[in-house]
Formats: sequence, structure tokens, C-alpha cells
Amino acid sequence: MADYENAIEIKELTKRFDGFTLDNISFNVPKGSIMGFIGQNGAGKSTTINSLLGIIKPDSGEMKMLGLDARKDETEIKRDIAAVFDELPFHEQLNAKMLDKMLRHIYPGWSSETFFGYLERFSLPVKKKFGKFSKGMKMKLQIAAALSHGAKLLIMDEATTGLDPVVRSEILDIFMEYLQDENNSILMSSHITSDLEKIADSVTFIDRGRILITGYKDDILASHCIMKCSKEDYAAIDRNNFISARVTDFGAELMFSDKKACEKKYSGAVIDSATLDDIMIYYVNREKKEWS
Amino acid sequence: MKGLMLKELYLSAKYRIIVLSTYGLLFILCVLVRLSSVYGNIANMTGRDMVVNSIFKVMALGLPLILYSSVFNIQVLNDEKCHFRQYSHTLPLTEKQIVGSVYLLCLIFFGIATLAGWVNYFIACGVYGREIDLKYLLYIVIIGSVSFVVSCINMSNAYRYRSNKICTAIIAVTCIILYLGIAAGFMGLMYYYYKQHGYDLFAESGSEKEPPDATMNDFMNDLAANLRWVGAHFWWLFLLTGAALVYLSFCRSVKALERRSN
Amino acid sequence: MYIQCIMYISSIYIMVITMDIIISNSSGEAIYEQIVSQIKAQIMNGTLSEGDALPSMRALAQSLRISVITTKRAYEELERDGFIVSQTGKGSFVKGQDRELVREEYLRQTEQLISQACEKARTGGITAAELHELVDILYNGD
Repeated sequence: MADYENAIEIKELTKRFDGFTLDNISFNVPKGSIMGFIGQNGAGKSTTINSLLGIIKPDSGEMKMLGLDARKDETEIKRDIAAVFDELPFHEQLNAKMLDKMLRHIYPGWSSETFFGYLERFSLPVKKKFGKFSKGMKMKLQIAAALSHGAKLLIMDEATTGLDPVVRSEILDIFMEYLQDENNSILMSSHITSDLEKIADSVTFIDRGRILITGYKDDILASHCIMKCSKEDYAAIDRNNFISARVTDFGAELMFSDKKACEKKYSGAVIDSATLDDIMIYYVNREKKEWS
Repeated sequence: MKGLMLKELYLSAKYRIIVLSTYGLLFILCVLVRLSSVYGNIANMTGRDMVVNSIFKVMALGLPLILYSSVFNIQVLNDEKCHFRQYSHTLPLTEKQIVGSVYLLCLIFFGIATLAGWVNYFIACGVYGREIDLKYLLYIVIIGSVSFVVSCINMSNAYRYRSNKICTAIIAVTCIILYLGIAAGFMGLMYYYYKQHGYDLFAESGSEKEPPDATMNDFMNDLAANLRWVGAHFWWLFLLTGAALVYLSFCRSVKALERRSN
Repeated sequence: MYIQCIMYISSIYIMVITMDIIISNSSGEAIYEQIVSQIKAQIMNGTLSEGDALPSMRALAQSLRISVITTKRAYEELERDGFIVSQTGKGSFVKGQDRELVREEYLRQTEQLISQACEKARTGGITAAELHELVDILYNGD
């Protein structure tokens, strides 16, 4: 396999539907890192991931995975990637043993030992039908299957949505373990920002089919801030300087994308750091400018 | 590809049991009829032979084979329901391989079912005390192949329309059209045959042109003889059409899978 | 199995260096800065000695549940300030030489401060024994 710098490269991906358009999506996932792909429900996360995996055919754009073209070398790439979806894609009557037998013949790098090792670690029953699994068990099963064929890229589409915090924490631990090998990368789409706030290396933010921010998570969090001030002070501020403002009867909260400049200009005002949740909420309202 | 075939195998377990039990029930029914025709209630009935003949034919021809036609259709639709189709796009397999595994397993199934039909026939002959007529073996193979072709067409519909309602509607409409078509064709042939012999099928009772009852038997024998003649001379045409239909439905399924879900 | 090996090896690392790093999410100080100052302190007070192997950036990120970018930045700053040296393929190790110099500097500053304190004590009539006790309480307590 060729040596590559980015596990995923997406350039100007465009896809038109009725009532929704993926518009010139571009971002990269560096090798050995985990990228959080954030956005509201319906913002275009699943569409982007489906286009990457070839489930949807895009209208235009270039996509590369593991250094190879996503369309031309599709079969070769798919030997080394694994996808995890929010719903279990296996039939209810199957059980883990049957799944092992099936996937053994499909993936050249499949290791039954690894698979059953994970099953034991997650306390998943081997002979029970999938229809009887709980949601958390179904997700752990998908992850066990995803990690058992030596995949170098894990793509997850809302994999942790709907799981309780304990299971989510276990799953995040497994991802961190997976990343100990620096050849492995993860693309994780979620709207549960608290997970990504901790462990993501980089973050890409999509809203209504457009990429708003993409970059290192630390940088993004360090450079955004929320300034709190009175309503009179708020009225005096130039509308173009901030992203959006939450105005209430008791004051205004504004988000800025350059913390240092904000601290210089409005020294003395209350300036808080922003969480990814805050960033999502303020950016989504960027056109409204003022909201409450 | 072998992996996917295994999956189809595992999933069809439920249906195999259904079909096998149908065979089993039919077998029991036939044995009971035979026993009662010799020792029991209907031993001295006037229409006894006709009843026994029909039951024998049903068992011998392995009509449960036709049940298989919709099994794989359901499998493909189930795939869609549980998002396996979406997942299958992430596997390192081409669409041809994915579709091919289902078709191949279907073919193997029908092959085994045909052999089971033969075994059934031998047992039927034994129970009913008849001689083995090789022609019946051929009939069983014909029924099996036709069911296979129908199954392939059903599967391509399932891939293309991805909805149980649409597929069932298509099957229902096709059955109605076929039924009406065959009935009309049959009536037409009968009318023509009677005309040839100077009778009018629709004449009133008591008139001159009313056909005698025996004519019906003659017509049926004539029809059977004609069919046999066509079968003997044009069997290769049917084979070719069947193979073409299977190939076309395969291509259609692959294309439908390639079209990708929206 | 490969992953389990990595886990095992990285857990050995953490066993060998009984290093405590405690991150506060609400302290206002950036996470990488907290790591830098804590590692510096441990090198200064001898918890970490010259040549000790630090956990890999990834292992540290995994244990602390933070991004690898953060630990990478911390290690880069430590290297820039001369506290550690990183060798690709081998890892990061505590650097000896400069530590001595910095420690000398700290020693000198502390000596200065103590002599000032002694002056004050003498002026105020505080005995050397009381001074010792005070030093003990202040150094160990808090």
C-alpha cells in the first residue's frame, strides 16, 4: 500500500438532493488521528460518510482513503477499512459464531481469535441471536467485528448515539487503544460533543451541507470565547465582529472566533471559554445573528 | 462470496424448515389416502381411482418446489430491512459477487429440491405400487427449473424495488394476467378445436351443434399430444429462454445494487 | 492480538515510571501547560531522574483521555525548554544536564530567600529552632 499522509482526503464533494445539497465539502483526516465530525441532525454528516463509502454516488468531487482513490480502488481500500453504523446491520437471526464464519471468508485479514477475544472482553454471548441483544451490546458487537480484520481506518456514523454514558466511556477507551498504533485513524461523526471534546484530535463542523470549521480541536477551543456584557454595551459592538449573540432580558452573550483579540479589545468584560456545544449552537445561529 | 453464501444459508434455515414440513405433511397425506383407498373408507368409492391418481400426481411432481420461488425474494427484502445492504457496500466485494452469492445459493437449493422431488417420486411409486416412469423425473426437473427462473425474476424485482408491497403487487398482478391469459387461451383453443370438428362450443343445449361429452376427452388428449410434440422439438428454445431470463435478472439485480440507496 | 501487545507494553511503561499527572478541567490553565509544569516539577524534585523514559505521547493521551495533539505539544515544549529529549522510534527521556543547572539556579534563589528570612527572624527575635519548625510546617504542609 502506498505511503500516505492523510487517511481521508475529501475535496469539493458535492451532491444534490431535493431540498438539501452537500456543497463543496473539503477536509482531511491526518493519519494516526481521530477526527470528530460534528453537526446537527440533518446537517449532512451521514450523507458525507455515505458518499465516502460509496453508498451514495456524489455529483462531483474527489475522495481519497488511505492514499488511494475512493472509487477506482474501492475493493482494495475496503479490505482495510471498517464502518460502524448507528443500527446493527446484521440480521436478527444471526449470532456471533455465524458472523465469524461469514466474515472469515470475506476479509483476508480476519482473525477469529481477535474477534472472540473482543466478544469475551465485552461479555457478549457467542451463541445468542442478535435480535435479543440490547442496544449497547449491538454497538459493541459492531465494534468487535470492525476491529478484527486489521482495519487501518474506522469510520463511525453516529455510533455512540443512544448509548448510556457507561457504555460510551467503554467504547471511547477502546478507540484510544486502537489509536495507540499510529497507522490507525478514526473518523467519528456524532452530535454528542462531550465525547469528542475529550479525545478528538481534530474537529470538522458541518451545518446545512457546508463545512464551517475544520482544524485541530485544541486550537478551535482555545481561539473561541464567549463574552458576556450588558445590553447597552452589546448595542455598541459592530455586527461583523462576532459570530452570533444570545440576547436576553438580563444581558447579552456573544461568541468571538479570536479570543486574544477579544480579550484585548474588551478587556474587563467577562470572557469565558467555549465548549464544542457552544460553538455548534452559536454558529448554527450565525445568520440570525441575534437569538435568545 | 463464500461468506455471503453462508449467510444466506443461515438465514434461510427458517424457510427450509417450512418447506420440509410441507413435504412431510404431503407425504403423510398421500400415505393416508393410499391406505384408506385400499383398506379404508374410500376403498369402494366410484371415483376412487381418480382421487388416488390426482393425489399421486401431486406428490410425485413435487409441487412444493414452487414454494421455493418466493423464499429468496423474501431474503433479499430482509437484507434491505436490516440495513445489511448498506453494510454490504463497505465489504471488499463487488456488486456482482454480492448478487451472485444469492443467485448461486438459489440454484443449489433448487438442485437439491429437484433431487428431493425425485426421491419423493420413488417413494410415491413404492407406496402406490406403480412402476417408475422416467418421464415423471423429467417433469420434476422442468417444474424445478421454471420455479428457479421465476425465483430469479422475483429476486431482481426485490433488488430493484426494495419494498415488500411493490413486489407482492407485481406477483399478484402477474398471476392474475397469467391466469386470465391461460384461461382465455385454453378457451380459444377449445373453441377452435370444436369448430374444426363441426361443433360449436357456445351452442344451446339440444341444438345440432352441441358437442358430445366425449369430445372433451379427445380435446385434452389432442392438446397433450401437441404439447408433447412441441416439447420434444423445441425444448432447446425453452432452455435458452430460461437461461436468458436468469442472466437478464442477474444483470438487473447487479444494476439495481449499483444504483445505490438514497 | 497486536493491540493487546501494545497495551501490555504501554502499561509496562506506566508501571516503570510511577508518574502522577493530574489534570484539572476547570483551572483555567491550558491542559498542555498543566502537563508541562507538572513534569517539570517532578524532574526538579527528583521524582524523575536523568534518563528515565517518559510514557509515549499516545499512551499518556489514552490514560488522561485527551487528544494526542495536546500531549505532543506538551512534550515539544518540554524539549524546547531543555527538560526532555525525544528520539523518534525510541521515545522521550528526561535530560540530565540542564536540570542540574536549573536546580543550581533554584538553589541559589532559595538560599537568597532563606537568608532574607533569617535576617527578618533575627530582627524579630525569632530563634533558629522556631525558624526550623516554621520551615518544616510550610514545606510539608499546605
